[in-house]
Amino acid sequence: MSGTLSDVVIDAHLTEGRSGDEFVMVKLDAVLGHDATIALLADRFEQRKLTVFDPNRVLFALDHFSPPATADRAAIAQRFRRFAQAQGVSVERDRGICHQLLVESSLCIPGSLIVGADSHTVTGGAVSSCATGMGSTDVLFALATGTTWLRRPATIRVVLKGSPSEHVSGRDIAIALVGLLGEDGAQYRSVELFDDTTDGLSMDDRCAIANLTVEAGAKFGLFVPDEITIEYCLKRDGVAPNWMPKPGLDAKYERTLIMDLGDLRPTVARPWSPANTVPVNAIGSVPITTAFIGSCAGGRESDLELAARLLHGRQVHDDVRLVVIPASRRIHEIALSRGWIETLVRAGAVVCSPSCGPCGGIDKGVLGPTDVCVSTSTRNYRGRMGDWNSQTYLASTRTTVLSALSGRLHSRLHEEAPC
Amino acid sequence: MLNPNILEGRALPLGDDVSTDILHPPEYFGLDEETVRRGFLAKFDPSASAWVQPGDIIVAGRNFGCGSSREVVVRTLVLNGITAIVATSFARIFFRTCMNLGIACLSPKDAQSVGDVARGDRLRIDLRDFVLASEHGLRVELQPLPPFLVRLRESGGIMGLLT
Repeated sequence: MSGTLSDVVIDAHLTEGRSGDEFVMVKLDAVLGHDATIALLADRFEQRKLTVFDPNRVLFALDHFSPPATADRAAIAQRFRRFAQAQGVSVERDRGICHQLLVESSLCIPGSLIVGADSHTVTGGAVSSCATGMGSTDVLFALATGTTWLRRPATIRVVLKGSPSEHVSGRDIAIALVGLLGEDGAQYRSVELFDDTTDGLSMDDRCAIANLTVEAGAKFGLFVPDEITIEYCLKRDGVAPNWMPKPGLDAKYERTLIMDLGDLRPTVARPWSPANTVPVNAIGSVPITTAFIGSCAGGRESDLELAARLLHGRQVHDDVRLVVIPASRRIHEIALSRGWIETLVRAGAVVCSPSCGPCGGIDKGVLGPTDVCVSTSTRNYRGRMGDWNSQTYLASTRTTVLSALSGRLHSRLHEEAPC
Repeated sequence: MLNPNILEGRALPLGDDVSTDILHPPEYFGLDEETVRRGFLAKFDPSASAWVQPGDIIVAGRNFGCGSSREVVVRTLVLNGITAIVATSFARIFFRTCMNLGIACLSPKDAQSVGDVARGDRLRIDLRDFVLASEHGLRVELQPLPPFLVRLRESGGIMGLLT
């Protein structure tokens, strides 16, 4: 095997083009879509009398308008479902965010090549998939042919070493990485992540990191598969992955970043850019009005477990609305059975059903002009979560919950935490 | 008039890191074309969708179109008649979608900024020799599109590859 991890994976999927070519045609292992983006292509697909290449390799989720908050969105969701039904593709309706469902699916395995009609498809890289987002027209072609064209990306290698210091999570690593790279620092690149940490990063942490690479412009953001990957796939699928691709010894990286997690502190991204990062201990004091735990970047089992642990027997600050949305039905059910949902509700959190929610300004807590939000969601571009003048700070679950308790995002948040 | 080799129009200068949320706020998402059209820069510059005319050319800095993959962001450009964007660099999903929907995305050869361009300046892009010129004497050499992307554009985007 030759080249970086993405070279190896692309080479294994070539239909046209050769190993050295810049532009190639590749065969896809799966295509991901959701209500908002698939509805945009349904008419054109049907007008051309196209058929889906393999319904078993398509994951469709009704997650953005779940349930729909307006009549227009209900119509879009219905269009999506009619299209899926006509093509013989099942829809995961109200069962969670497409990217979380992807990592919960046996389609997402090391060395797979997946495209999705949503930019955060890169989350699949947590399980070592070359997974990437595209627009509806590209996905229309992918659904019809099971192929697409790719420009072979250069690779940035990121080595994660050491042991995360207290209070630092995968999300802090992710935010810090985007801060280091900048909004276009990984533009068109594959970000190849090597977990060389002392204890190994959990799959939840890997999802948070892979997910956020797109905010630095990445095409792929994937972990080199290892024992943690094998263990995850065994538990999820009952079998180990059939391929554990590794970069070749001759792999040439455009650059290598080494992050010693012991040097890292909890970090946030300030309005209005995911790369506008600062350690929490230098943030000053920011009164907040809303807090959000959820989205494909932050509504996982470990996030809900931590939120419940911090909120047990306490109350969300009077000035703050805390919205909590599990990323999938599976996570929601685990949280229910462990008593976390009860703890969150009793603490005053607004707990909703698995869906995207306020992350993209959709519903379940869209921001008004004077809202200041601390959020585990993906982006804080101006106007994304609601009003043009609203402000969002992207943060880890721990930073978000502590802010919701104290009413402020401030420099001594972690030192003064109740637990 | 599919893929003409000369693109002429007025300049609409925008800056660096113009995100999809700036280009088209999420609340304008939908299937209704008039809503999608009106959403163009709706919060950043509420006068934009009334000002813009078919043929206009966006001139921008780095990382144009960063953020979401939602195709309405490019659809609004098409509905408003924008034919080309000249920017220092593009976000990749946005670039692909523009190629698919017939909007030429070009960058200056030296990967620096395009130079001094004011809103409304008349611009001309020649896609045969990849040069951008303005009525005020600006002349910028553009990076030629790779042959694969020229073929893609001439096919009418990725749908043209469907046999």
